[in-house]
Amino acid sequence: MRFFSGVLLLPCFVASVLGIFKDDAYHTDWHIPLIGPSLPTSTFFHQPNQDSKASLIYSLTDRSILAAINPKDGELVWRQQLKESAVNVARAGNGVVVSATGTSVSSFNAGNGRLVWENAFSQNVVDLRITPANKVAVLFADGVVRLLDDKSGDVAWEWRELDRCADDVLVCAYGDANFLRNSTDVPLSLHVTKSTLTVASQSLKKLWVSTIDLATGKSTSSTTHISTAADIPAKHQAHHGDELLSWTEESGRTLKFVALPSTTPASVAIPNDVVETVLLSSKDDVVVHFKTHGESWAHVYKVDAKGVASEVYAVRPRLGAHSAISLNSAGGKTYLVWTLPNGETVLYDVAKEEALASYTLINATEIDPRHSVSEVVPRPDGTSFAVRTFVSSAAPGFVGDSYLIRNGELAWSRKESLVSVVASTWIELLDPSTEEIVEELDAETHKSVGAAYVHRVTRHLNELSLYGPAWIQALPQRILGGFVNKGTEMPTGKWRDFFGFRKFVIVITAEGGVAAIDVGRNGEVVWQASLVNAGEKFRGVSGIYEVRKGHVGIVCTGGSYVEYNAFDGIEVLKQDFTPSVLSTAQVDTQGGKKIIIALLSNNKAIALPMGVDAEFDSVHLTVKDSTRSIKGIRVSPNLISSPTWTFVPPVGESITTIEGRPAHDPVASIGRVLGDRSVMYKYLNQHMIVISTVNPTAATASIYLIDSVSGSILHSATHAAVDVTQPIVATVSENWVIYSYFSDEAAEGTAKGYHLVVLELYESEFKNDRGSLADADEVSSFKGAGKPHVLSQSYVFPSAVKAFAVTDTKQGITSRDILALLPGTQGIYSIPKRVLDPRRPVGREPDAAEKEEGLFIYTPVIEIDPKSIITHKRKVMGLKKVVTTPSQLESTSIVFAYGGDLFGTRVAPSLAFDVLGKGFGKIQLVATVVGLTIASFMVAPMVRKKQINARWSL
Amino acid sequence: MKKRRNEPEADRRYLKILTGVLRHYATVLMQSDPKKLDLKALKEQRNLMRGINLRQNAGQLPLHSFISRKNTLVADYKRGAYLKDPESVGKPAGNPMSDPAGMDQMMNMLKGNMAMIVPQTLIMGWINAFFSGFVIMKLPFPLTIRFKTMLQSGIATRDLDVRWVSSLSWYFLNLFGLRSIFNYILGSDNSADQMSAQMQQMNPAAGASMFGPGQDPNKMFLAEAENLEVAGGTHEWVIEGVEDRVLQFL
Repeated sequence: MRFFSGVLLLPCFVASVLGIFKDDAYHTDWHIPLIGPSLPTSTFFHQPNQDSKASLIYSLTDRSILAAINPKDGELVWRQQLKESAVNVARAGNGVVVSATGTSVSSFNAGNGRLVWENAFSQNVVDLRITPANKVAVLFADGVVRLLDDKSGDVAWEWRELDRCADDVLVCAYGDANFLRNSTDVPLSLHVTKSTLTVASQSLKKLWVSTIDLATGKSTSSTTHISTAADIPAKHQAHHGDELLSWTEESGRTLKFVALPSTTPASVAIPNDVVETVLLSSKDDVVVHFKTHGESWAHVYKVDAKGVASEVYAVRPRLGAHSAISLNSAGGKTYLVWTLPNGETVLYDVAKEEALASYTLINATEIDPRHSVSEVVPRPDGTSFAVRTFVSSAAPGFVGDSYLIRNGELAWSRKESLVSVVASTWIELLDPSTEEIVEELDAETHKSVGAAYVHRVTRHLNELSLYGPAWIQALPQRILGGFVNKGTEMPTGKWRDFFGFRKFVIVITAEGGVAAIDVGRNGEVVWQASLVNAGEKFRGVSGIYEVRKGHVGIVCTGGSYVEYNAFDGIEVLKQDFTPSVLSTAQVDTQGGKKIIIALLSNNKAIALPMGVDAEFDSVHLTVKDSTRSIKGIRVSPNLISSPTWTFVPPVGESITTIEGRPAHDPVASIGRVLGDRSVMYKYLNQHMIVISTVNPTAATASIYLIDSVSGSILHSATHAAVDVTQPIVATVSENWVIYSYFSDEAAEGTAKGYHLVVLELYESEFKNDRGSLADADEVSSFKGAGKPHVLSQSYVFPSAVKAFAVTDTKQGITSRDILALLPGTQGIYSIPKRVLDPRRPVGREPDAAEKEEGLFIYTPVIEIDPKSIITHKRKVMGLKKVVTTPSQLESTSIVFAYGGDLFGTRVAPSLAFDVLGKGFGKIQLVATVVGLTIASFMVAPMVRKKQINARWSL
Repeated sequence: MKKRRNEPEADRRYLKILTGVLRHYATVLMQSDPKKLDLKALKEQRNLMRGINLRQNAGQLPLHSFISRKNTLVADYKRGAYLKDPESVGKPAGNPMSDPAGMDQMMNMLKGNMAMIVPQTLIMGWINAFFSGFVIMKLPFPLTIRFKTMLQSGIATRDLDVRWVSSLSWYFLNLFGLRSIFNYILGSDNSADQMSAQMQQMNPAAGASMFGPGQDPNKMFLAEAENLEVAGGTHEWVIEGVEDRVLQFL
């Protein structure tokens, strides 16, 4: 018998739960690295080192990511996440790319993206330039200019003559000019010529320039002010070109520019309807680009040796609000590349008025360029050119999408706008096997048993004659295909695959763009639409739901409801209403439909879509009023909203997060079976929400579990010595809550570090007892049933957690994994729920009953096991949220993460117990069986002979 | 819950049977021929057999024939006439390891075990590679949670109904349920079934021949002499009074 139990135990050691199998990596998961919308002046074509022929596109984005993009295919060569800041500058040096974000300046190897040096200062950087000797000149917010060494980043010299006067001294001497100055001079920009640096600053409503000798760091001339008028470089500051300084006058209707070292500005009148003016320069060629709401055009200027600018020609206006111009010098000539909204590219020589070439985009899409950079190479024949333009789009809802247009051909595009996804919902695709007969099945359910049976038999007979012959014909092929075992191709269109791994996720960007991402086909964007029109500001989204099969409904905070066909992106319905929306919830009507209840800011409730007659039971919404109060609001069936409860935390505490149970949260078993076959009943309350609060003065964090219908507090806990600046994140599922916080300098008995706390709620502390619930089927918020029995345990986790998600499967049979989103590029870590189990025995080995329950000894620290990182080797950046959804397989949950990069994968927390693994080789299986059969038949006569011989030899 | 295919189940059963058959053959092939015994050892063995046979078939002989045979044998047994090694009478049994015949037997045992362990290891690895960690069938009747460990080995969820049987558990159920099939295919004393092999391993003495290492032949002869004396007291000739019986029958 020992043998028997021995072999039964054996597989327990074999099966260890892994996050992802090696052969699944890079097959079931996908990752779209995004960098965000490129910044106009910090994006450029540049050769990674002097002798390389090909150049890369370098771009610093408004997410403070510095990246090198391969212009051939749009792949990222490298990228670096810099410290997020409002001020971002990147410039090209010889073999390096130097960037400044906030107070720090760093230099990266242009070829491989490795950090060469980094130097942090006390003041924010205003501007940064590379000198001809490859040194880095930096202008800081306090007016100091520092020259940094190109190899080490050390300060070579410092120039402080723009020193801000002390705040209390309003009048002080300044340079030779002895002007009266106050303390509000603002450094603006830095310009490099061959041997000098020029600093532009603003003071006394005037623009000043100071010149510094590059070699010594001493002022070469007195600080002078340019022009006599009250020139305020207010709205528009263009730093383009090292030797050009431009600004817009206070009226906003005159653009001035000066070609340094001259100090006499040229002025260009800005026509009244112009909304955007861009000035570009390359050496002594200057282009002023005007854009109105309807069209755009440009003027080309030439600056002569004395610094006097004269207009060469003007480019005729073309229709379209958004267009972009870029200049590029090649072979002694300067070319102007003009990209029009429809992607058409026009090439000019700045010296000649006639266009050199024009390329219409073949695979045309609306590109709506915002800004662009180009590279022009004249071909040896002198009349044709190779033009490639990197364009950043201004399309409404999708600001920042980038495209590369190569001679009128869209070479590639990057959906950079999806970096700012703020909300998402899953869309179930259609099942090809039932979709055709869905009406007939529906008919069967509405007939009597006999009629339905007859209907079904006739349907089956029809199907047999219709599909049968084809099925038999395809049989050999199918069997053969099954043996070859090649990966099944994901279907396209609106069909899901057999296992339901293919789903759409509809995402909304911060700018109001809607996109459908195909999670089953490596995150391909299926369709996109915009919730805003050109020039409109998107006010956010308060709800996105799958309202019925294949339809997604979006409630915009600004007061509109839009419904799209989720498969093709066609707008089905759009309704506007006032005022703005506070909160939304999706409810089932009595007719089995789904409607959205929106609570408006005037405390009225409406049902969306409007005009639909639907009866529903009353709905309870939870609205966060302020950081000091949360309100529970009941919306009655006739849409009258009334507040039911208010939660105000104790004095000094402010509310940080509210989390509720997910809408789809199936529970397989209502109790927990212990080792001795007794049961602890789970406290399952669909209305349970968890609220976390912090008290900055007392350095405490509190957690409140609240019934969102009655408002009663089910449980609360307070932790002392908490670093309240670190986020507190929580998640709720089934009968448990998990949250994390940072425990600071140890109070008595607490460990410094990130803590994960698990709370499990049971109906009673006794086994086989339902406590105050007695024989009630479900927890009722109204009957005021007693408080749940709470078990809790705390663990130390080595990393901060940005967000939690819980795996979701179809029936909840599969055990759950908690997905913790780690900061930086660490990815997503999956912790099995059984590790975070408050019943784990503390300080002793588990006894036999506890072992059978699957408990093991409590260890305070949860180590990060690299095998459980579901993003494995991938460097995911900037993720903010993880969402999960069930597939058709009970074992598998689909995961999608957004907020920066996009990442999708599938996880099987209890291993894939309902599907054969990829390693299952049918050929090997059959080969083994055949081999064994042959061996048996070959050995049989030998054995017979031997047995007979044995008998005779005795 | 969706199940992909059921073929592996059937495949595995064939596989199990085939490996069993093959193991039986391998075991038989690996058994070495029993070594030819020397004359004295043979004499010792056969004469004991003679005594046993006489006792068992005593009824076939008339009483006087039996008595005379018995008397001769008992006298010879007590005298130790057939002993291979008459000098060692009364001495403790020697080290079984030093007995070449014993060594031979142990070698055979080891080979038998190898024939069991090697395919067992191989098939376990094979089963693990192909069939571990998924549900293969659903039992048509409900079971209590006590069966969970038995029926769902290799499945890492607590909430799955006990009706669902994992492939590994099904393998073990088959393992212990295939005996009758082997008996049918290979005859009753086959070596395909691990359970019987297992039993052998647990009680090796049962399968060994009469003079296993460590047995004292003299004591066995004396015991047999005793048995013969007892048998003499209860002798009954099968054709005693046969004439009357035949007449009665007619």
